[in-house]
Amino acid sequence: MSLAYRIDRAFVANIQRYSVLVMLVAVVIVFASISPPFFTTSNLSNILLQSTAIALAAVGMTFVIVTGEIDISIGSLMSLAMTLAWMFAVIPGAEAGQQAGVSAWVYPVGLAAGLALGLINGWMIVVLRINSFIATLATMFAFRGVAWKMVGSSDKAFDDSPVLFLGRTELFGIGLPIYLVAIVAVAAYVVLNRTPFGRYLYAIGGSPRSAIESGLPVDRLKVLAFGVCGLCAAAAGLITIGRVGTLQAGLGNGFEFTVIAAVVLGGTSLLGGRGSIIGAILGAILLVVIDNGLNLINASVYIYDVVKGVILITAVLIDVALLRRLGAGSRAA
Amino acid sequence: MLPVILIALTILSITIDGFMSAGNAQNIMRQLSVILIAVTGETLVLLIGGIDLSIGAIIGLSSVCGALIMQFTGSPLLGLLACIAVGAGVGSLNGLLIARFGLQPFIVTFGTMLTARALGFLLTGGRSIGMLPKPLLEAGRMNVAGIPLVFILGLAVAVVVGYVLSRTAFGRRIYLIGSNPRAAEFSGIKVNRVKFQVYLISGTLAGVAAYVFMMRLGTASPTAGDQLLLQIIGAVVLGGTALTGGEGGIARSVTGAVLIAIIIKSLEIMGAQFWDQMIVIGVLTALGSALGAWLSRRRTRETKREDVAERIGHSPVEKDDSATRLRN
Amino acid sequence: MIYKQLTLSLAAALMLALPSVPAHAQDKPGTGLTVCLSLDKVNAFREGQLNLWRQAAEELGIKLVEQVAGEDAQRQSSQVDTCIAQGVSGIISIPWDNQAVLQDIERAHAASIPFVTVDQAPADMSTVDAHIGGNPTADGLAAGKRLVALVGDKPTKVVNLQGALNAVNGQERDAGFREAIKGHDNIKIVADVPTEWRPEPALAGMENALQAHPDIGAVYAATDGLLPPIFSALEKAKRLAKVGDPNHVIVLSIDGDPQGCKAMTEGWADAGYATPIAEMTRNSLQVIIDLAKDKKKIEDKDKVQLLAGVEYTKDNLAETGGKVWGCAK
Repeated sequence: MSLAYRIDRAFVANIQRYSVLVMLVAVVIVFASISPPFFTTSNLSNILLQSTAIALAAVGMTFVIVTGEIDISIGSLMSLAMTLAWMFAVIPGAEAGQQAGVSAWVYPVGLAAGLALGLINGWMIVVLRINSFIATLATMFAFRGVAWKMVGSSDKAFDDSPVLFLGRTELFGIGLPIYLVAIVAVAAYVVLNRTPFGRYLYAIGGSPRSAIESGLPVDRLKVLAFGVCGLCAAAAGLITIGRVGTLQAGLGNGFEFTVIAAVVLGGTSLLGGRGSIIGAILGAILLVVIDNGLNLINASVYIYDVVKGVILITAVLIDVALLRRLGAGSRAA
Repeated sequence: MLPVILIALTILSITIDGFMSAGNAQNIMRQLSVILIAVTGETLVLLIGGIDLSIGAIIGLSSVCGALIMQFTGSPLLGLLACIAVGAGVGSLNGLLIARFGLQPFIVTFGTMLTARALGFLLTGGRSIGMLPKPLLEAGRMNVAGIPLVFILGLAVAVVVGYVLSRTAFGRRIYLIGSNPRAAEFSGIKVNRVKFQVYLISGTLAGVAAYVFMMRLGTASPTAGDQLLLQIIGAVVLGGTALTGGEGGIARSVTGAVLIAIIIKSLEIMGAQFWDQMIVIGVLTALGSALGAWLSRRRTRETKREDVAERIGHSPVEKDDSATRLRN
Repeated sequence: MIYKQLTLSLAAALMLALPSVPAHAQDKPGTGLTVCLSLDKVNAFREGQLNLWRQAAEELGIKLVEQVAGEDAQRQSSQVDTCIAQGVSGIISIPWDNQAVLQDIERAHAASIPFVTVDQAPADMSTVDAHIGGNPTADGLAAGKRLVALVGDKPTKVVNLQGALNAVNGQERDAGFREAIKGHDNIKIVADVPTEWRPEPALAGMENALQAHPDIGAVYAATDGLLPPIFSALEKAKRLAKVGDPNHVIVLSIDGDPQGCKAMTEGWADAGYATPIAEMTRNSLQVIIDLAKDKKKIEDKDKVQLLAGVEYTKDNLAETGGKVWGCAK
C-alpha cells in the first residue's frame, strides 16, 4: 500500500464530515443574505442553544450507530426518563393534588433512568438477539405506554425550580447547555477515537466477524453503547424540559428520526464502522439552522419540511459524489 | 408464526365474550385492508436489505392527489390512476437515488417522507378532503359473501405480490440480492435495476393502499399514513422478515399484520387502556421477533452456516466501502 | 401519586355535585345506558375532558366504554366498529379526521346507534345527531378583538403560535384571529409557527421570532400548553414582564387549562378563552340519554352547540373563574 493510497483513504474517511460543513456554510450564506438578523451573534448563539438537545442525543446515537445498530426509541426513552425523574423529584404541595416544586433530584434520577432504559435496549438486543430496529421499535411503544400509565397525560409544571438551571443559565452570554454539549462532545470524541472502548466499537461495526474472532466482548460493548445513547437522550431531555418549562406527555415524539438524520448527515454510516462526533453535531446544527432561517424570513409554514427534505437528500448526494470521485481516484492510484 | 395466531385465536375466542362473531371478524378484516397492501411493498424493500420510511407519507400524498382528481373529475378510475402515479413517482425517486446514486435508503426515504408529507400539506392546507364519489364509498362498505370488499382487494394484492416473489425469476433475484449482493452481482444480476424496481413497486403499492384507504374511510389527508409507517414495519418484522435482507416473505408479513390486528382488537374489546395497549404491543413485538430470531437461528444451525455472521446480521463481505455502496 | 390526586379531586367534585343528583341511584337519568367514548388522542386537554366525562357519567348513571385512537383515522374507525358490535347505547366521538367520521356516523346509524361528536366538528353536520364543541372561530375572533382593543393605534408585531395544521380547531382559531385583526394595519403578524400543539416547536419559534423582531408586542397562542415556552423565550430575551409593566408583551391564549389559569392569576397573561369542557362533556351525555332512552327528538337549536370560550382576564377572574376548568381545584 502506497503512502498516497493511505492519505487518500484518510481523506475519504473524513470527507463526509466536510460535506455537511459545506452544506451548512451554503445554507448559512443563503439565509444571511436574505435575512439581516440571521447572521448576528445573538442569533448564532440562539441556534447553538436550540441545537443542543439534538446534538447531545446525536452524540449518544453515534455510539450505537458505529456498531452497526440503531436506536429508534430515544424519543420515548426521554419521555419515560423525565417522567420517572418528575415522580421522584416532585415536592408535594400543602394541599393534596398541589405541586410545590421540583427538586434537583431530577438530574440524577433522570440520567440514571436514561442509562437504565438504554441498557434495557442493549440487553434485549444481545440476550434476546433481536434486531436493534425492531427491539427499539418495541420499546418505543412500551416506554411511552409506561410513562402514560404511571402519571397520565396532564402537563407537569417544571417552572420556578432548580431544573430550570440547566436550561436557562448563561455563562459569559452563552447558555449552559452549549458548554455541556461541548464537554460531552470532546469526551465522546476522545472515547471513540483514543480509547480501546471506542476502537472496539468501530471494530464491531466495521467487521463484526473479526471482532468476534479476535475475542472482543461484543455483547457487553454493545450494551454499553446503548447505555451511552440512553444517557445522552436523558440529558437531552433535561435540557429540553429546563428550556421549555413543562413536561408534556408528547415529549420527544418524532425526536428519534431528527437525531438519526443529524447523525447520518454528519457522515456516519448506518451500516456501522464509520462515524463522526463532530459530523453529528454539525448535522444537528444544520437541521436547526434550516428551521431558524425559515422562521426568520417568516416563510410559509407548509414549505419547512419540503426544504428540509431537499437539503437532506442534497447533502447525502454531495457526500456520495465526493466519495465516488475520491474512490475512483484511489483505485487508479 | 401461524401456530401462534391459531393459539391466540383459540384463547381469545374462549376468554373474550363476543370475539368470535361475524361482525368482529369483518371489523378486523376492514382494519387489515390498507395495511395488507402496504406491508407487501415494505417486505420487498426489506428483503433486498433496504428500508422505506416514506411509505406512510406516500399514502398521505397519494390519497390527497387522488381525492383532488376525483373531486375535479368525479371519476373513481382517474382517482386510482392518480394514486398510482403519485406512488410510482415518489417510489421511482427513491429508487433512483438509492440504486443509481447509491445513497443510504434510510436517509433517502426519510427525506422523501418529509417532502411528500409537506407537499400534501401544501396542496390541502392540512385539511382532510371528503366528498368522494358515491360509488367509491359504496364499494368501500360492500361485502362479498360476508367478506368486506376492501379486504378482498388487500388480500388479492398480497397474493399477487407473494406469487411474484416466490414463483418468478424476479422474486429469486430479490432474495439473492438481499442475502448476498456481491454474489448476485457476479451471477450477472443487474442489482441496481432490481433495486430500482423494488422501490418503484413499494411506492406504487403505497399508492394503491391510499386508494383503499379512501374507499374505507371516505377521507384523504396528508397525515393519513403518519401512524402507518411503524405499524407496517412492525408487522413485517414481527412476521419474521429480517431487516438485514434475504430472509422473509409476503405470507409471513401478512401473518404478522393479522396477529397485530387481532391483538389490538381483543385489547379494545376487553376495554384495555390506551397505554396498556401500547405496552402490550411493545412487549409482543419484542417477544415475537425474539422467537422468530431463535427459530431462524435453529434453521441456520441445521444448514451449518456460521452463527457469527447470523448473529451480527451483516455478512462481513458487505463491509468494505465498495460493497456498501453497491448494496444501498 | 397522580392517581391519588385524581381520586381526591374526583371525590371533591362529586361532593360538590351531589345535591343535584336525585336521591335514589335507581332514578339516575342514564341508568342502564352504555356510552362509547371514542377519543382521537391523549394529551393534557383530553385528560381534562376525560375526567369530566367520567364524573358526569357517574352522576348520570351511565357506563362509559373508553377508546383512544392515537391520532390514527383507521384505528378510530375500527374502534367505532368495535363499539357498534358491542351494541352500545350511543357513541360520542372526538374525531381525528373530520371526513372519516362521516362514515362512522353512517355505520352507527345503520345499527340504530345515536352518534354525537364533541370538540372537533365533522365536515358535514347534516347526518350527526348532535355536535357539541367549542367555537374556535369565535375564540380566535375574540382574541383578535381583544388585541385590537389593547393596542389601539400602536404599531404592534405579533407572533402567531398555531396549533396543528391538520386540526380544524387549529385552523379556525388561526382564521378567526386573522379575521379580527384584518384592516388594522398597525397590527402585523411577523411569525407564524406551526406547533402541532407541542411546546418544543413553540419555544424555538418564539426564540427565533424574538431574534428577528426583538420589539415583539404580542403573542397569540392556540393553546395554553404553549404558555411555558412563551414565558421561557420572553425571559431569555429579557422581555418577560407582568401585565401593566411598560415592557410587557401581550399574551393571549385559548383553552383555560391549569397552566392558563395559573398564568392569569399570576398576572403574566392578558386574556384567555376557556373552552367550556364541563358543559361540553355533560351535554353530550345528555343528548345520548335523550336519544337512546327517552327517544326524544333533538331540537334544531340543540343539534349544533358551539359553545364559545369564556373570556377571562385577571380582573374578571373572580366572576369567571368558576367557568374556567383549569381553575377548578
